[in-house]
Parts: sequence; C-alpha cells; structure tokens
Amino acid sequence: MKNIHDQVVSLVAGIVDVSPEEIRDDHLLSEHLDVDSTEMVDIVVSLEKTFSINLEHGVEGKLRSVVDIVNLVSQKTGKLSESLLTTH
Amino acid sequence: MNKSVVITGIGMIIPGAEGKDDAWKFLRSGKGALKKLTRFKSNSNGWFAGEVDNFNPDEHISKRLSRKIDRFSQLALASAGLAIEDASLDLASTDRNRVGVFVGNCFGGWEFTDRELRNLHTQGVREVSPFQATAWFPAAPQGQITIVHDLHGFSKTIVADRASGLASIAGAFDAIKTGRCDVVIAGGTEAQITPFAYTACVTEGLLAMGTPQHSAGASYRPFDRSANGLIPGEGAVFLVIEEKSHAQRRNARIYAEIRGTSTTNDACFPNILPVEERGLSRAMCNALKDSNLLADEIDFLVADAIGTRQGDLQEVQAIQKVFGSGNTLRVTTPKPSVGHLYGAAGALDVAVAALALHEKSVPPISNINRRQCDCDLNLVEELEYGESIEAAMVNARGTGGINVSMVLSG
Repeated sequence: MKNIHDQVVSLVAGIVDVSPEEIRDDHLLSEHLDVDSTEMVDIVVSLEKTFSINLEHGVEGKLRSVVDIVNLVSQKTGKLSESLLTTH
Repeated sequence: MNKSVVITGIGMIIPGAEGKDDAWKFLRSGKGALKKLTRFKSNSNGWFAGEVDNFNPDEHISKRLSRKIDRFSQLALASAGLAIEDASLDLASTDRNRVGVFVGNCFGGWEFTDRELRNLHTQGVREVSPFQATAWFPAAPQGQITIVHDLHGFSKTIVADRASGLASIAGAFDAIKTGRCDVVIAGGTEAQITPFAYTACVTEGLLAMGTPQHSAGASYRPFDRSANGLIPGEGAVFLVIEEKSHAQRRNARIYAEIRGTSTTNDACFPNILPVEERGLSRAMCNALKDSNLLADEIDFLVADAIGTRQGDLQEVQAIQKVFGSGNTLRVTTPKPSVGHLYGAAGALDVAVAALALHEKSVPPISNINRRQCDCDLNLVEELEYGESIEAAMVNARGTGGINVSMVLSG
C-alpha cells in the first residue's frame, strides 16, 4: 500500500497530467505545475475523497507546494509521512 | 475610414467531415450525414441528428485541458486551431493585443452539465466536478481559445439563438472594420446532442420527427411543401477574419471579402417567427446597402432554410421582396446535409459562401426534390460552376425574431 506521500504525488500527477516521477516535493503548485484555481479545488476535493478527510473551506489558498499537501494530509489523518520527516 | 475585412482561414468540424478540405469535398458531393442519433439512448426512433463521429480531442488539445471542458469547447478549440493553421497565421509575429475572438453559441456545455447534474441528484453535491463552474457557460469556448492562444484583443460571445454564428461573424466584421482589431478568430460551436439539450430542441417544436415515409436524410426538407422541421447537428466552424492590408502584408490567401451586414429584430418572442415577414427582408436590404452592392449583383444565397412551412414561406417572401419575383438567384444551404448546427450554423454558412466564391462553385442542397417545392426559387440541385460567381448573401434567423444577413464577395 502506498504511503501518504506517494498517494499525494500520484493524485497531483493525475490532475496535472504528468507522471509521478516528474513531481518533486518542493514543486510549487502554481509556478511549477501551472495549477489554476479550479484545479486547486479539484485537488482539495480529490484529497477529501481519497483520504476520507474534511478540509476547511478556503484551504486551497494555503497550499503552495506539494509538501504542503503532504503535511496537511498527514496532520488530518494523524499519520506522519516520510516526506514530512525528510523535508522538514 | 472603414477598413476592408477578409476571410483568410477556415476550420470546420461538422457531421461527416473534419477539416476544411474534407468538409468542402463532403458538402460539394451533396451527401448527407443525418442519422438516428447515437450520442445518447433516446426514447424515440424518430430522433435524428447530425453527429460528429470519430472526433478525438486529444489530437487537438492536451488531455489535462480536455477533461476540464465540455465537448462544445473541445470542438471550438479544435476548429479554431484548424482555422489558424489554414490561414498560416503566425501568432508569435502578430500583435496579440489586436487579435480578438468572437464565438456564437446557443446552449452552453450540456454534455458536461447533463453528467454532473446526474451526479448531483444521484450521489450528492460532493460528486459534482469542480470544473462544472467553468465548463457550462456559453462564453467558455471564447475563454479557452483566448487562453490557449494567448490572445488579448476585443472579444465577445454572442448568444442569439440559431442566428448566433452569423451574428458572431458580423461582430468580428464590425470589430475589424472600425479598427478595434486586426484579426479575429470568429465562428460558432454547438454540442447539443445530449439528453437535456436535444429534448429542449424537441420541446421548442421545430424538429422534424422521423416518419415511416422519410429516412433521416430525407427528413430535413427546407422549401419542400411537406417540410415539417429541422434536424439538429453538432459541430464547430471558425474563421480567421482579418483586416485586408494586414492579410496582404503577410501574403495570406484570401477566400472572400465580407462586404456588409445587418441585424434586425421582429421582437416576436416567445414565438419562433413573426406573424408576417418583415425583418428578414429589411436585414437583407440593409446588408446590401452596407456592402454597396445591388441585389442583381448577388449570385447565390446561403439561406436560413429553417425547414418549417411557415418559416420557409417567410424566407421565400423576403427573397422575392429583395430580389424580385421570378429572380434567378441561386439558393443553397448545407443544413439538410449536416443538420442545423444552431449556434455554429451561421459560421458554417459563411464558410460555405467563402469557399464557393473562392472555388467558383456553389454546392447543392442535399436530398432536394424540386418537384416537391412549390416556391419560385432557383434551388441548387447539383454542384454549379461559374466564373461569374462573385458575390453571395447569407441569412440566419433565431427564435423571437432576430434576423442577420451578410454579403460577401470573391
């Protein structure tokens, strides 16, 4: 079973239509991956479904990078991810 | 001083053909693409349509974008791209602040919306795609074309019922004539073969329902004494419309010049047609005046050809008022071949007029049976060639009384 980091990377890769290998943890969603506002909502909705979590309204404005997403999901699910440990 | 306006590129994705060359070949042949609709499971064997089969959006746009937009935007982006390519227009060396986008459309994005409304009602609000917000509205194709091609010029979306496509080209003509733009990517798009949108067409009461006597191809019979309505078709047609000296400076091929246009309104909403013909002939006269051409200089008309008895008779009356009874004006229409493309219909008709002027040949009306037509019109039965084919008129009408007419010359 994939860990949170890998699941987040796969999810983001699917939305921006690139392979997971092309996504780096420090990639900025807007600047590096050209994520627009509707895709940001798609990411949030997909996170909620994939991880069975509820994210507060407006959270999309606080997520700037891939690692921000991994950290948020880790916090919401109560599980630490490898990425959280290695990038901070 | 008003500028001259020319057509330098044509992109067509219509039932039966994709791309200008194939579409023109198809329309010249007089063949038809109407059939029992297959894009969704209908309740009736008599629901016919012109469908764009084998359209693969991945050949034209990225998968990432494709999944976020409706079919009518996919068709529009693909068709606009084909038009730009056909015009050999190098946008990198063009002032993008002076390149606009005009789009005609009636329905918006109902393939996407049908699906998402179904999700809403069967699974709940959380299952509705976030892209629904930007996929459905009629201005979506305009937005997508401007974003994809990075265009910043004066742009509009025109929603004027079945006259939307011609009104869009007319808007582009005005934008260039008055100096607001050098180039406009203008046309129309429609993808109304969905459960809700097609049913809306049925409810309006304009559709020719299939009968045991008539196949799909023979059911849309404009100007026929037994005409009983139109058949919807989907598709997108876009043109590159350009200020003449701008086109000449880059040695662009010029298909035709748009000479004049006019819009009138009979203000008869919610009725489909006015009680008696008035506004269409006025639009035709005004368009002639705007073009500085006389009625007897027009060689052929691409008719509105709505395909209802009252609608056809009113157009015949308008033609006779403007061109005189017993006139020899050739009258043609691609609609019985591909269906009525609603918001894209006028753009297709202008493309047909421009290609006919450029190729000096007027395509026939598919499935026409002149013996069944009791109107005094010179309906084109077979492809007609003629070096003297130099000027054309295009008509379009919409429910509620809108009339648009346009004059072009070779």
